This record gives sequence, structure tokens and C-alpha cells, in this order.
Amino acid sequence: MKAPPYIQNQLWMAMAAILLVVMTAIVATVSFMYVTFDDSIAPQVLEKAGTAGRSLSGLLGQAASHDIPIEKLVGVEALFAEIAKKHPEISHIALLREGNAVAMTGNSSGVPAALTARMPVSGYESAKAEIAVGIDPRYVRKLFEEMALDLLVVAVVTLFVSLELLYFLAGGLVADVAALKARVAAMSRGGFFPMPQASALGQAWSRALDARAADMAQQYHDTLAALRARLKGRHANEAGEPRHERYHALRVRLAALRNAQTWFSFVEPRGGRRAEASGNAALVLGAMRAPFFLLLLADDLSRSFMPMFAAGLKVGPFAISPNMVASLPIFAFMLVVALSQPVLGGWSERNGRRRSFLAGALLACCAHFLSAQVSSLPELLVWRAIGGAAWAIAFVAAQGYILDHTDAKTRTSGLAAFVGIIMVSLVCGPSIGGILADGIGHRATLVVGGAMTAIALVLAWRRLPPDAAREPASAAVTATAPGLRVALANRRFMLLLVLAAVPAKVILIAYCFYLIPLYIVEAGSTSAMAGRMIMLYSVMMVLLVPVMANWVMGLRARHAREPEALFVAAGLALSGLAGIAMALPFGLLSPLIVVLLLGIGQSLSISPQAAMVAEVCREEIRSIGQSAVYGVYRMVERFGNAIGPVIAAALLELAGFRTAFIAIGGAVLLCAAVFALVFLRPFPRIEAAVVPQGSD
Amino acid sequence: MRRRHFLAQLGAGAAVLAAANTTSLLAQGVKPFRIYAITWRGKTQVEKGLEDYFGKQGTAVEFAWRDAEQQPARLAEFAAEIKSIRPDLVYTWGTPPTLGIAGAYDAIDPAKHVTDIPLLFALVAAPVAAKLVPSLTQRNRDITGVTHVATLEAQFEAIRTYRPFTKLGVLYNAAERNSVATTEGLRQLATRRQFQLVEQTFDRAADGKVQPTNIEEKILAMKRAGAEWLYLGPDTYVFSQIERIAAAAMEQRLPTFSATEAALSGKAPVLAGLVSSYYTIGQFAGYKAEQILVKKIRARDIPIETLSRYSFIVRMEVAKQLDMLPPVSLFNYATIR
Repeated sequence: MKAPPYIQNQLWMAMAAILLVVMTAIVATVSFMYVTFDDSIAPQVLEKAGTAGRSLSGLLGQAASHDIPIEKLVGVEALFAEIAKKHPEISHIALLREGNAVAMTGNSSGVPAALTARMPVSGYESAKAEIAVGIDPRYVRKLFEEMALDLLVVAVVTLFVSLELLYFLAGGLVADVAALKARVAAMSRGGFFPMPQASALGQAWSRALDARAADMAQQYHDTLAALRARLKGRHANEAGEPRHERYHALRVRLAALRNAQTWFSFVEPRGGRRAEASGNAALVLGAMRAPFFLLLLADDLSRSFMPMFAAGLKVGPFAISPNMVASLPIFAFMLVVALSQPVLGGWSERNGRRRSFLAGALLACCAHFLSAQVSSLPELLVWRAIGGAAWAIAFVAAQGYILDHTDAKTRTSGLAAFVGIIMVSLVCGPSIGGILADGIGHRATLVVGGAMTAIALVLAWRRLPPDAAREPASAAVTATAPGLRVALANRRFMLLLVLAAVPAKVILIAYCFYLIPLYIVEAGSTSAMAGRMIMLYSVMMVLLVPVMANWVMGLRARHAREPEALFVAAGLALSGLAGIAMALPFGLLSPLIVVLLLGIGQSLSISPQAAMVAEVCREEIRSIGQSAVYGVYRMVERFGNAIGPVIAAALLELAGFRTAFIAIGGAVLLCAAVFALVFLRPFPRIEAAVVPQGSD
Repeated sequence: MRRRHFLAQLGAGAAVLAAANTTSLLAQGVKPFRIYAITWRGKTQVEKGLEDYFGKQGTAVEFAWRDAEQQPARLAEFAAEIKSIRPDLVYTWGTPPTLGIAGAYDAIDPAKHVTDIPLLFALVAAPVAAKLVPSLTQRNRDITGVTHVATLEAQFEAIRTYRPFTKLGVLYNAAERNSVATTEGLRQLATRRQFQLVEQTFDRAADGKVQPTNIEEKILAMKRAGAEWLYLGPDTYVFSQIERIAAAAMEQRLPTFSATEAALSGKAPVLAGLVSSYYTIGQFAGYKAEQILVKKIRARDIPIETLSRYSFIVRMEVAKQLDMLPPVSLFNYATIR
């Protein structure tokens, strides 16, 4: 769906306005909180310190009840240290006697009095004993930073979601404007045949125009019919008595009418379906967009915490290490997605897009709700696998919708919109999911995902139009058995898959969806932070992939060279280097560097790698078709998605985080080097093929 | 499951307990169950708990109380008497009476031991180590009971919480099978948790009979060897000499830790212990007796269990005398006496 420039501009303006409003609100809230800190936050934080202090005071009071003198108390500092360890916000705890510390843990320097709770110790009043509990100002600052980051995430997500919403709303409007425009254009060319009408915007106008056109057409047909009847009547009644003048008059009138037909047309010239199809495209995409987005979002919600959720479950009768357990839900999901891919294309076509999309949404809804209540790992794996099947079904159906309702001219932009939905969901889902998981827990977040799929189901049921009578060959990307055989017999294609496509996916899923979430939580941070990292990656993808693709195109045009292989090798090498970055001692900064490098690396290689398939498989594309070759490519790539977390889990189990990161990074770096050796030799240039998209 | 059921009944029956009177229940006209009960050195809180349980449940029972007065020879007489009067259930207190009546599982002598009447024991610390049963789940005869000692691991943690140590003293009766087993367990724990065990055994006469000589010297030797605590295991001979042992330890300023409640209830200055209450053990034994007598469940099908909760008991007077006050965090969960 390509909106007219006017609408596009309006959308950008609306986005900018929303961003401005949201950002202003966030900045205002945060600064307001800073300003009013002493009045509102300090008492709340102090209340925590007070609670800890009161329980300590009560405990010491018990010692007092046994007549133990205050200076003879044993293990006070150990007790304080234990409490302080449990509450990271506490900077120090001290037992004071006449204002002097008798026992103390932590460091009181730099803690303002406003952040210190002091209370007398019951039973030791005569000794003027007091407990002082201080709150670390850095903790308060960190609280603000966390909140500000969360709000930033919310702002970005709001931005993308409102863009989605605008597209959703504007989808209809754009279609209406297009319908009106077509109507007026047809009329201005003298067309008075029925055409699709606007359904919301300018509905009355559209209907009036159509009625007027129909009226005109009717009048023309009536007049024509009347004249013909009269001519016929004359022939019958006045046979043998020719009245040349009157015949002549009628003939002139008929000729005039015929003449009018060369200027105006009263029936649709090329059959209605085609015009209707492109007229409906925007509407169909608009209807598909929201439910598809919600389905994807529901799955992406759990990305930042799924490993932790799984690791906390009972394993059942199997002896599996927690790290491996954490990797299995991703494995189950991705494996089903990869395996179901060859079957689903045809299945979805036979069952109709609407029905298969609804089936996918229903399945996803069940899978999410049931995932939320699992008590053991095998259950979770079953529901995640079913969730994977649901995801794949909805994916293929949505892709099919686009291919069915676009023509060669609009297909590219339609598929771009499709990939856009996937990326936006990956921006919003993990980050919001992480915040939700920290706030309401893993299971409740899964329930939220279930609710989203339920809404998606209802929306799809109410709004998705029935399948159009289909044009025969859609270019749906599916892998078939003959396709696999033919494509895999090509050695260069095999090398491209094994050295580039699979390693790129392995490192992406292993890092982003498995190692980084686990590492971040292990390092004492939150699911929200893990979500932010994934979000950062997705935002980089959204921003960088088009830039990199343009860069490649520019290089191609300027230097008449094939830069793809170089880009793929460089991208892979950067992804590999990302893992090596974990060797640097930067704490929580290390995963950030990993994500940044990985983002640049992947955005460098994604499009050129897909383009290279067309070059490497020229012969195969000629024999079995482009979609079959790309089907094989996508399927093998998705196996990389599936095995990524399992490889990472095995390495993590054997050698810990740092080694796991570095080993995977090193292996990918090696792949990049071998890839460069094999592919960085000049080979004859071909015309750039149109690459069917469908990246995930 | 059964334990929970038992504990629930404990709570519910508290009011009945106050009103019920054993004798009035016995006069109900129902033929009472007959329990032949053997103690080792007189009735304890365990037997009080056992009797009270039946009173509370309203089950008519008739006890035939026998006390061995710590003489193994008397057990043979009891076994003969049991065979002649054939009670419904035999109850035994402690490892020696239980072994004396039932025999080790691999050395049963039908002439000496009682083989065809269900037996219920209490206060047997380690039924497997004492060879009463091959394992807790595997029994080839009608025997069940209640054990009363927390795991050595838990006791070790408790001692360390009070006051960390590197050397632990233990004084035990090498003639008592369960004491030998406990000490062996301590040796293994010492290797695992990296502390040293300073062992002393009671003197024995030429005929092998244990005798209470040189106790003070043995404790002094332990202290000199660097022991920081004296561990008093579930050893019947230790308990019979508890006052002398505790006084000697106090003399050497050696804190004492007991595995059984009885050592902490008397006059002996024992400092602390991780124990289950004797009274509750008796009630739990009563519950198991009821299952055998009323519910007609075979004793071999009733689990040999211990209570799930132990009390960390600290005696403040002793702590003050020793000048070894408990760390304040202990006030959170210890019972201070």
C-alpha cells in the first residue's frame, strides 16, 4: 500500500505530533519528579528503611528482654550485613549509642539525613540506643534512570504503535481517497460505469457521483432502446410504405448516440475485477495490518523473559540442565516455524487466506493462554511449539493476503509494509514485555499476550474480507522437496547457506533472544533491561536496513561492481566481533556493545545476502522458479534460528557466559573469513533480481 | 500426608485433651486395646504424649508399663511375658529396649525375640544404623515408629549459626550401636564440611561394660585438643551421665549442644540443641499406634518418620554463665529458655 504523498505527509506530521506530545509529557514527568523528590519520593523510600529498622529494633528488643547489656550483643554487624544484602537500596545500618556507632555495616558517608531513618531501640532506652538505616542516594538515582529508560521505551513504542494505528485508520481513508480519485478520473475521461465506492471518507459524494453516473448510463441505454424500438415499430407497421424523411431523422439520432459512445463509455472497459483488486488492496492491507501486528506483538512480548520463565519450571522426568531448559522454548518455537514452512504455503492457499489466518489466530490465542498456566517444561514446550505453528500459519496467510491483493506494481511496497509490521512488533514487543514481566510477572504477561491474540482474532473475524477469486500464480515463498534437491545440489548456494545464512541467524537468536536476556538477569538487572536490548537491536534494524540497502544499490550503480559478497562478509565479521566484545570488562555495557555491533553487522548483510541468492542460483531460478529457491533459503535460515539457542545453551553449560559469547562470535568470524575466501572473487554481473521479501 | 493429618488432629483435639480423662474412657465397657509398654529409665514426656493422645481420641487402651531400669537382662523377661500375655501392641522407648525385644533384622531369634506382635518404637535415633530395619522403606516384619533426631547436617548448621567452629568434640558410648553410627556420620560430615572431630569414648570395664570413669579428664583432653563445642548425640549413656558431663564442660568453658530434648530439660547446664519435643513425639507415636490398633493397618505399611519441625533451644542462663551469648539473629527463631 503506497499512500498518496499528501496522506503520507499527514501521517508523518501526525507521528511527529504524537512523538512531541509523548516526549514532552515524559520529560515533564521526570523533571517534575526530580523537583518534587524531597516531598514525595523521599518519605516512600524512607518508609522502606523504617520497616527494616523497626524489625531490627524489635529483634534487639528481645535481647534486651533477656537482660543482655547492649555492649555484649553478639552478631549485630553480621545481622545488619544480612539485611543490607537483602535490600540493595540500603546504604548502611548502624546501632548508635548516644549518637556513636556501636555496630555498623555499609558506608554512611554521602547519605543525606533526609535519606536516613532513625529510631530508638526498645528495651535499650536507658542506653540511648538508636538504629539508623540509610538509603543509598545512588539507588534513588538508579530508580530514576530505570524509570526514565522505561518511559523512553514507552515513548518509542507509543510512536510505533500510533504509526500502526494511523496506518490502520488511514488504510480505509487512503482507499476512499483512491476510490474517489478513480471515480473522478473515470468521469473526466467520460466513463459512466459503476465503480468501487468510498466506504467512509466522502461516502455521500462518492455515492452521489456513482448515482449520477448510473443515471447517465441509464438515460443513454433508455434512449437507445426507445429509438431502436421505434425504428423496429416503423419497420413492422409501415412496411412497403417508405417514409424516408422520418427514417432519416431516426437514423441521424442513432448515429449521434453512437457517436457519443466514442466520447463516453457506459460499460466498464476491461472487466471490473482488476480495477477492483487494486482498489481494494489498500483496504485489505489496512484490515490485515492490525490483527497481524497484534499476533506478532503477543509473541514478541515474551521474548525478553522466556528463557528465565522456562528455567524456573519443573523439568519433569528429564535430566536437563537449567541453561538447556532455558533454550528449549525458543528451539521448539523456531523449529516448528522452520518445519511447517514448506507445508503451509499450499495449505493456506487451499483453505483460503481468511480461514487460515483465523485458524492461526485461534491457535495462537489458545497457545498463549495455556502457556501462562503451565507447571512443567514439557507443557511449555508443547504450547510454544503450537504457538510456533500458529505464528507460521498467520505469517503465511498474511503474506498470502498481500500477494493476492497486490499486482506487480504494488507488490514491493506491500511486502515492505509486511516486513515493517514485523520489525515494529519486534521493537515494541520485547521492551514492553520486559516492563510488564517486571511489574506483573511472567505468567500475567503471557496472559496479556493471550488477550492480544484474542483481540487479533476478533478483529480478523470482523474485518478481514473474504478471499477474492484468486489469480493463479502467487509468488508465495515456499520450499518444496524438488526445490530442496535442486537448490542444494548447487555448491555455492550450499556454501552461502552454511557459511553466511545459518551463522547469521544462529548468532542473532543465540545472542539476542537467549544469551543476552539470561546474562542481563544474571548480572542483577531486570527483564525490562533485556527487553530494551532487544528493542535497541530492532530499532537499529528499522533504521539501518534501508540505509544499507540503498548504499549497496548506490555502489552497484556507481562502480558497476558486485558489492554484495563484501557486505555479507563484513556484516558477518562484525556480528562475530560483537561476541568478542564480551571479553572486555565493561559489565552491563558489554551486552550493549554486543547489540550495537550485531545490529550494524546484521543490517549490513541481510539485504545483500538475499540478493546473492539470486546471483548464486541463477540456473535454479530459471528451472524451478524464484519462489522455490527462496523458499529453501528461508527454511534453512530458520533452522539456524532454531539451533542458535541450543548451541548457546550447550556452550553456556560447558564454559559460562563469556566463553559462550566468544565461542559463537569466533565461529561466526571464521565463517566470515571462509566466506570471503570463497565469494570475494569477481564473477559476471547479472541484472538485480526482484527479491521476494519475507524476512523475519 | 499422614504427618499433616496427625498435626491437624493435634490442634483440633486440644480442647478435648483438657476434659478427657483416661480412666473414665477406660470404663466405657468397650474392650480396651492392650499395649505392653517398655521404658528404659522410667516414663518421660514421650509416654505422657502417647497416653494423652489416646485420651484425646477417646480410644480405650490399657497400658502394661514395664521399666528396664537400664538393665538389658530385664528385656529378656519382658519378651517372655509378652509371649505369654499376647498384647495387641508392644511399645518400646529407645534403641536398647527395641533391639532387645525385636532383635536386629538379620539376627532374629524366635526363642528370645517377639516376632508375631506389632511393635511401635519411639526415641530410636537411627533405626537403620541400629539394624532394626534394613531400610526405612523396606521392612520384613510388623515394626514401625518415630525417630526424633534432626539430620546431622541441620545440627551442624545450627551449631555454626550460634558460634562458628573448626573443631567439634564428641563423647559417646562405643558399645551403643546408634552412637557409633552417629559418630561415623559426624566423621563424614567433617570431611564434607571441613571441620575436625575430636572424639572421646566412655571407659569400659574388662567385661566390655561401659563405666562412668574419667569423664572430667576426657572433657579436659578434648578442650586441650582445641574442641570449641561438645556435641551430645542421641546416646542413652550420655543422657544417664548428662549432669556430670555438662558440669565438666562448663568447668572447661566448653559449650554443649544436644540432639535430644531431655538433655535440655533437666538441671544439667547444657547450652543449646536442635530437638523435637518429646511430648509431640509421644503424640505422633500415639497416632501410629491408633493406626495399627483401630485402623488395622499393618505396622510394616506405616512409615517410620520423624517430625517435620525442630526447635532450636538456647538456655540463656547457661549462655550467660559461659559468657557465650547467642547472636541476635537467633532471637528470630530460637526458643530461649
